Amino acid sequence: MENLAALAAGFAVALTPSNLALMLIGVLLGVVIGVLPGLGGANGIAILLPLTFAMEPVSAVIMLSCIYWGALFGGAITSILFNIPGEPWSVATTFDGYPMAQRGRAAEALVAAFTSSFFGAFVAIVVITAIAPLVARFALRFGPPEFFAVMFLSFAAFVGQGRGSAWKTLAAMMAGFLLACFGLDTVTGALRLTFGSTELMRGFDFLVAVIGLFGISEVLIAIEEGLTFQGAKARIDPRVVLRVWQELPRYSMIALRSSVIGCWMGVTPAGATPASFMSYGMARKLSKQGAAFGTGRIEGVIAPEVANNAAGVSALLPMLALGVPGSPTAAVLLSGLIMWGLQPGPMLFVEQKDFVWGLIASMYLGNVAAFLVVLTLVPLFAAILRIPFAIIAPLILIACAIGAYTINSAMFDVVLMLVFGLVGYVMKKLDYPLAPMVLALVLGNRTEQAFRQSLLLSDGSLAVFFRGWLSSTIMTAGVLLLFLPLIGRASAVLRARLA
Amino acid sequence: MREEPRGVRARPVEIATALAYAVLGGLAMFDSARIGFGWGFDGPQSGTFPYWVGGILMLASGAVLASAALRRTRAIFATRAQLASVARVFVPASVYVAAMHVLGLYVASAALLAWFMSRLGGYPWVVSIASGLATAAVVFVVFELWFLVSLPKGPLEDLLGY
Repeated sequence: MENLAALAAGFAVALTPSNLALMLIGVLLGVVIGVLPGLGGANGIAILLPLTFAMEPVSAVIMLSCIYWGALFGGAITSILFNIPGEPWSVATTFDGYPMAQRGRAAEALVAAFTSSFFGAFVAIVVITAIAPLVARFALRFGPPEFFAVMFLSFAAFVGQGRGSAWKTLAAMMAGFLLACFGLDTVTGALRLTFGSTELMRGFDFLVAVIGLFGISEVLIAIEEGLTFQGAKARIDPRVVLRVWQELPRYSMIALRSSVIGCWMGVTPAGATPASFMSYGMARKLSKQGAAFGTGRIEGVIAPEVANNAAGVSALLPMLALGVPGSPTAAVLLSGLIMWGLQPGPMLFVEQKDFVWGLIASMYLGNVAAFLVVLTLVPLFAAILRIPFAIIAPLILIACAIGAYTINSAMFDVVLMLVFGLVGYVMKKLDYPLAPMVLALVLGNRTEQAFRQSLLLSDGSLAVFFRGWLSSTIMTAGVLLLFLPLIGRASAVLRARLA
Repeated sequence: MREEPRGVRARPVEIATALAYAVLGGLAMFDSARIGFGWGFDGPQSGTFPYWVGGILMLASGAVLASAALRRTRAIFATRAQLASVARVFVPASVYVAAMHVLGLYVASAALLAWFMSRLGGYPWVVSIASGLATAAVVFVVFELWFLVSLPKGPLEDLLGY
């Protein structure tokens, strides 16, 4: 009940005309960003972040989070119409979405994708509304060992639930932690890893890394694939909408299951991309017509789209309640909080009620707005992709350069952005995951701080993390998640031997 | 038999990347050892965290390196044609960033767009240059005038009095 009252107050914050206008701008920008390969939620928001310095924090976060919702919706458009995922989390949508479009059922696939996205997002927002304040209140009791344990759990989840090589995930993550160590150590004042360079004294800015790793590298990948956009027609007839909506309740089990998968993967920072794959895989495995997946089954569009939006939205839950973002985009929003002078963490719910509940209320409104916008304006967004890459690519490069420069007004950052772009390109080609690296970079300092403070409490004994029941439970869960792939592989071997 | 595309193989790139990570981990451990990674009079020393992180990085990249070295595969990292297209974007982008240091962001941006449109898009020079100038003008209005964000400027802006 208390939550509902707070939510009502949040709606009062979000429902001012200027915030509604920002919401609409955010959603429109977000869909465009989601449609364009090379611009995604994370780097799109990172580029725009410096422009929000002077804004009211709640208005700024409403606009930026709406860009995120728009991008989550927009990714599906290009997946279905052009077989080109605008965002990594909509790759799984291409499997059945594009075949549907090829058979002239593009409009159906789009309506199903948008409705599913909305459903997933809605479930996740309800989960946030209900649980986030509880988690935050609970987390007020956290000391440094508990915080370190939460970080450990999050990062262990990456290794355990990642899709590729666990060693590569670990390497990318540790590289991220090291990047966070560069520069001045704020505790002792020692210079670390600078090797005498004054440019490195400031350390690596997380936002610059995001713009390079996600923006520049995406452009390089896109040009390598030699993009040619030849796609299906994108108009949506209102009658099709009604027909699909009548059909959808049949798939409510898939939708519910996918939203559970999505929320889980979003809260533990495995993220939207693995969530969409996992949910697609589950839907195929559990369906009687599993073999027909990939030929244009509507379930194959519903499952990944519900899951990726649920994951994308619920990634904000740990960001708000604990200050630990569940996805790269949530991490960018988190660094926004710091920029606007807010202290992320459980105190946010106590000290910044208006901000938190205004944001949560805007999530309801923003997702409704995004849903309506994509449903009505699909042809417009599809037309963007018909602009030749020779025009889009330099515009994206220019936007990235401006974004990287404005963060610290430093030319060196633009050079770094380019270097990160090349690094990201190689990493993507070799299947190193970028998300753990980026999250480690943004959380590195706070993880280290929690680690140091914990050790101070125990005079240097690592046993401190297993002393209290709370931290030991979280640590044990983390260790279990870390070795999940090993356990799974061992049981598979065992089963094969028994069979 | 399918003809194998020519290009850079995945294995050497895989090995080089793992080595690069290992070197980063090693550097971190080396530098941390310099500032101390033990227990100081006021708690863990500055190098403690990066030292162990560097250690785990070396371990992980060692494992990646071993599996890449042991697996005999002829998989391709990128074909020559692909690398050529990547270079067609990356080289102008590098020149763009370098030029930004001298000419400022506006002139460099205009030139970048014009270059892409005429060389990769096949547009006439006049159209390309006009589009480049228009883009620079829009960026100027949005950033310098609306948002009051100052972007890097060069001799041309000096001449115009900005």
